[in-house]
Amino acid sequence: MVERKRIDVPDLVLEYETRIILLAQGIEGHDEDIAEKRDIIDKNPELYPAKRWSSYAPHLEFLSEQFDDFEIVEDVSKINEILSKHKVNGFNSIRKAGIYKSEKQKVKFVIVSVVSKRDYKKALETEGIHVIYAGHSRYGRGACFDTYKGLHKKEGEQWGTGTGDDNGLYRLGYQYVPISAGDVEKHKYFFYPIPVEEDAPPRDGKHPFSRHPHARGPLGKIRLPLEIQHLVHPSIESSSDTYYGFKKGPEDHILVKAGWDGTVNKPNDLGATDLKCLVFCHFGCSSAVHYWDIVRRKEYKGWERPKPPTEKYAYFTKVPTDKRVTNWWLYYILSYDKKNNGEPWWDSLQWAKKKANQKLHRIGEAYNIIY
Amino acid sequence: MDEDYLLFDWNNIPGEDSSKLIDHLQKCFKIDWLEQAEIEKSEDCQKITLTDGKKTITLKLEAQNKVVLELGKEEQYEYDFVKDDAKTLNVYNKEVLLKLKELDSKDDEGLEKLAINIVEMSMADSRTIINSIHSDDEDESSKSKAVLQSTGEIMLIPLLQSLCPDVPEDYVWDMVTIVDMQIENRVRIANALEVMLEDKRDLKMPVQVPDAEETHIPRRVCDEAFRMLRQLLAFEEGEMDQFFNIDAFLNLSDEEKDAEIDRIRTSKKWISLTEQF
Repeated sequence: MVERKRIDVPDLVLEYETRIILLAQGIEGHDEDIAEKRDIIDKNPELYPAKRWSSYAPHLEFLSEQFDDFEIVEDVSKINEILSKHKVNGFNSIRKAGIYKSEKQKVKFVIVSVVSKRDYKKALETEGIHVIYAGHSRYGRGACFDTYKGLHKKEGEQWGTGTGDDNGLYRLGYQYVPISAGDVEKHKYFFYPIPVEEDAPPRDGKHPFSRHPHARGPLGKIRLPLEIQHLVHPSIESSSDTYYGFKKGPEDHILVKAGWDGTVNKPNDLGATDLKCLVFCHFGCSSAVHYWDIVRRKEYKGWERPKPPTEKYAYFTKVPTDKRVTNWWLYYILSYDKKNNGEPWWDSLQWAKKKANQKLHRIGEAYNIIY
Repeated sequence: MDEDYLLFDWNNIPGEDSSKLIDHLQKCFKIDWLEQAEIEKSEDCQKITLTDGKKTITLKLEAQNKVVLELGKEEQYEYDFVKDDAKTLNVYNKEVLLKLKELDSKDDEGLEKLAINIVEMSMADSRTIINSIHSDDEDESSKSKAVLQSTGEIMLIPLLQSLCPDVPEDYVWDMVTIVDMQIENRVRIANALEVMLEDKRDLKMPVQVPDAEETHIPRRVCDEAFRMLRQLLAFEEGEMDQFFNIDAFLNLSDEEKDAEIDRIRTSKKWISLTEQF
């Protein structure tokens, strides 16, 4: 009998795999806003030592400083052309893109920055892509957008529900969320407090909780400061101008109607979104406590990662967050040094999480990214 | 010798490698006058001197392939040299601290390589002992086991890496030893945390960007100790359950947190752990 000759199969997958990362930059998180804050940071080196803060920079510029071959593309038609080759179409607020080929991973990364709420939702519904939100959490109400050019405007409805599909909140929070009264006064948008004339939101003992984890204690009654009484949404009435809330430190926190499903922002909420992306990253403030349950648990959206972990990857932040988290996350996504084309993304994502956390810890921040 | 730690060719100084030497000294010792320094080599080529007329740094070739750097009378550092041929005498960085100083803080690859290097060096002797614990020579095996048990946790990782399931009895003996070491470590860490639980000092919270929406929840040393203790002991909690429980704890008032710390210290689990101290 002739013994069959064993053939060693070499790495046949020589082609680069293209991975698209949609970077949704929230309100006050556009490149111009980051550059403005960078300027303040640079002028205050005692408060913001360069060693710790040098990575606070517009995301794609940061990456182009780290990688010699990182190419920034500003021509939107060219970006659309690249995206359409991968059947990713229809984004209306593209600002720029970054392209990087990792020789070791055999992966070509295309990172596209967008700024509208519509594009964020579209990204979440796009199969097989990596979506990162970098912006405010609005105290746990969701992701928040505006499509301005230049610097953000400090006041207006774009900080709340918004005036259309492109700005304001994309909601993914608990039904009731505590917000600081100072936030309403600062940004001057309509909000939805719960009048004491109505029943208090229930104090549930188990999932699904209606109240945010930071609002599950006893509630008090708060008379709104005069400055924000006119900002209560007209659909809400309280003869006493008194609403449920609590005092935290020196500040009043008011419980407001928020939610993730069937919200005032529908269809721009998680409930009305068919999550098809492969990776969901919410790097806004303490997003884990605000949204982890909502996105992951079956009592809410139930976007659970399967075993083995081949899809539905999600990452959040544990403590107040700034742009450095997104920058180091992207840096390590691109720096992963093993063959990665045609492979599940899990190993490279977990490696990036570990390395980014270690980096943040080294520059005096907390281990921040969590899945 | 690892080419990553090659500094310069002794025979090219003064000359084309002078800048490499100066660059190394500046990175490691932050000496500002080196840019203008005069570099000379003694006639017998055994000594290099750098001077600005007032201050002097010397490097000398010594026995056993050593180069000694003298920075004043007290401060000395050693390097290795390798004479590759009649023309080349390569000097290599040998000391861990100087290797570290040479690296840029952004050089992740270099830092990782140094870490691997340190682990390899520190584990070399451990591996030699571990290779003997199941030796056919009973005397050698017994002595190696004694050393292993006395050395403790420094052997844990090399022992774990050398686990071999071929002989069931050896396999189990090794794993029992590993688990013992790990338990001992856990008790030591818990012991240190027990002390930290008494420490009520406030921690300085990280500085945030201007106009940050949310601020860090203030923490004390004892709060962090409590958090770490939960990580160490609460096996039944998944990562996210643990996160939510700790978040709830940190949102309590100091008085409520103190009461919670007292509660855990009187819990069965904690008492049984502290009994091992």
